Amino acid sequence: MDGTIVAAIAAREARAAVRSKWFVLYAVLFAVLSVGFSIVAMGGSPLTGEPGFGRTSAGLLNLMLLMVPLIGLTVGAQSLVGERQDQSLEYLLAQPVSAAEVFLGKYLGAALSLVVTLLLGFGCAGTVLAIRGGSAGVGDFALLVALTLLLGLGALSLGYLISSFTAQMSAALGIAITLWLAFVIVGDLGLMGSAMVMDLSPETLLTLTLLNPLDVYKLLSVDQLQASLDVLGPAGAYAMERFGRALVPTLLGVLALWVLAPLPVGYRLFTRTDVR
Amino acid sequence: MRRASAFGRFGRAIAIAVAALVTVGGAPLSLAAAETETMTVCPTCEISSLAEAIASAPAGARVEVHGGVYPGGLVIEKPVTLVGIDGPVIDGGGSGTLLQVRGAEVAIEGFTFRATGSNHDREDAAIVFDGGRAVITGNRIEDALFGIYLKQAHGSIVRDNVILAKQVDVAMRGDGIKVWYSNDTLIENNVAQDGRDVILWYANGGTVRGNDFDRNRYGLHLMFSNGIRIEGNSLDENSIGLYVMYGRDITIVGNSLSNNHGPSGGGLGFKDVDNAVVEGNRFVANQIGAQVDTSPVQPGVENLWRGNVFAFNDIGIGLTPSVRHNIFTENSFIDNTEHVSVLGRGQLRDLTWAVDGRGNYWSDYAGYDADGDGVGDRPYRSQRLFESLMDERPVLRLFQFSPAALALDFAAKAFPEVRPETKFEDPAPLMQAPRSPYLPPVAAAPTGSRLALGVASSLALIASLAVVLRLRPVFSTAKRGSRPAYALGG
Repeated sequence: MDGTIVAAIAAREARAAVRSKWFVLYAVLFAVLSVGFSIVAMGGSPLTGEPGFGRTSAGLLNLMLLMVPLIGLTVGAQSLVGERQDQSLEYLLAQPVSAAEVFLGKYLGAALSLVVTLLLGFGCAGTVLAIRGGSAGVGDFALLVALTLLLGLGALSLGYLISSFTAQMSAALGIAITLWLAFVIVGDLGLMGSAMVMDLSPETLLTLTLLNPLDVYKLLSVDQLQASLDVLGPAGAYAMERFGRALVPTLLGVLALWVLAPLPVGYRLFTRTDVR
Repeated sequence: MRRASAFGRFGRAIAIAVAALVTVGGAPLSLAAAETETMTVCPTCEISSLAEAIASAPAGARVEVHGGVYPGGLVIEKPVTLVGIDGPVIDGGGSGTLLQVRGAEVAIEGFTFRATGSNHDREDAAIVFDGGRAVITGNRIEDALFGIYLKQAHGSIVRDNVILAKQVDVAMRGDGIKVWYSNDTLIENNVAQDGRDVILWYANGGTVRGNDFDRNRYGLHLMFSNGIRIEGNSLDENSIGLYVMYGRDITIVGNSLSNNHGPSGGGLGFKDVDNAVVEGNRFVANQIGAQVDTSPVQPGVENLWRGNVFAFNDIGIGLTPSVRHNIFTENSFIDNTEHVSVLGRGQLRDLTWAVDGRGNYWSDYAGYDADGDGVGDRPYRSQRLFESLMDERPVLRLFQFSPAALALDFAAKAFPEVRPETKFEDPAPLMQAPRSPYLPPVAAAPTGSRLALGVASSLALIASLAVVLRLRPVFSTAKRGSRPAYALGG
């Protein structure tokens, strides 16, 4: 594999992604969102003194949980399939480049555009926060940014996986949106229902939730913002008891797995679909 | 308002009692010191042993102890005043009790006590009073199993001391201050950290004021103690900030309780407490701001909660279903994950949420105030589906902050069939958070990393903007939306 070729393909992909109207929409939406989030969640108030993690910040965390996976999944899902559909992918693969170089290059390019989208938002948020004089630690803030990037990349990998085998853009986006719905609402609702009907133990419930990257992200960010998972009831207490100091590394590992695991599968599907 | 005047009378009575205590207690001691013999102890003096000086001192003597290290195991059985000058240290070397007073009025001032034993059967302590009366001021106690232990020492004063507990396993720690069957004690401006409790057992009357009790099991703990005033204390990062069990006539005013977490932990806990007044306290970022169990117990008795701030707690106030006859007025509930929770299965009944047309402030109140009197025109109803599910099945708390929980609440709003019963209703919600004059001052938020945050964020912003501008030139002549030409390496 040639690094310069990968870089060239990545740059080309990033250029295409950043020039699309989706990028503008996502970047602006996300910037507004994260500025709001940080002002409310980390600003503090004259009546209460220290800032806290409350219902409003929870609501905005909710919005992050809605937005970031949506951005990641749709950006990823459009990546390969768009070029496949207008047949420029065929043209590209006819060049003296390997399938692996194309696959990796396009992924990295999409990842770059995603990271830029998110960093634009967080950059605005952090700057506003610093000017307003919030008491957010730079460490806490950086950690939240890193977590969100990881979540976004996980969603991107999944979207890319979808993109690697679908023939039509509409199909790819359809699958992506379905997955998004499943992760965001349907999965949790199903678990809630099962927990109530079958009286699931905190242990079982926690294990099942860890299958959802959004819940893993939520656990991590609550743990970082609250310094404890007490707020999440018995299952949160069980998570702290069971994992102890290994809690954060374990959850980070699970998230990282979501970023990496779809790629080899996607590559296999990609070679089967496009390289004959 | 009947309650208000009762509270005012009670407050005045306490103030007079405390004033009387201070004048009666403080004056004779200083007079005695002026009239009677003064002895000086230092490592190079004629008397170099503190134990010897105590043994030979006449009753009422003033013993001035200069800098140096003196062994523990001291026993005093007559009234004396011990004054430390240049920071003398009484060091127990990790065994036994350092200073024991038996049935005498003794003042201890300006010492450092260090390294008690760690035996719970003997209750090794830095300072123990068996009867008599203590005036303990301005001492530093380090590495102590129990710090200050007053048994039947009525009218004692403990002021301006710093008490740091022995660093042993949490289950093996002792109490920073333990008051046992001692009435009318004044505990003021002390710091007690990393121990078990500051605890008052069977104490009637007394004031705990302006102290800092942090990172203990219970910051302050009352057991079977009545008529205690707790004022202006800061109780942070304990398992439970303040726990009152089995008491009556308790006044809790102007305290700050924050970041108290732990197994069934929280800011304030009430268990069988009658006639309590909780006013102008700030409960921030606790697991449960205040948890109330079976209080009040007696019929015809009410507990009053007025002008408190509950903010950013996981639960603002948690009430067991057996709780009745509590009055909540002019409190602010700001951004608690759940403002009011029912701890267990059952309904909230016989609680009063507004007095004289003044209810409480709820940060999520969505009503309006058309007549501009500062009171919302529609009642505040707590009726969230996901909250009621969580109250019933705590394991569901795992799904808090998830879009799914949001969706459930939304569904309940849209479809009355699935709407839960109203948990409680504030008939006169306030539009603005009221500011009780008793509220403790807010500590300034630290601004330490503001510069770092600003620099890091603007760097991130600039870098990402640079990338965007490079990839998407503003004055690009390329047709919008078209894919760039295939020039690999370009």
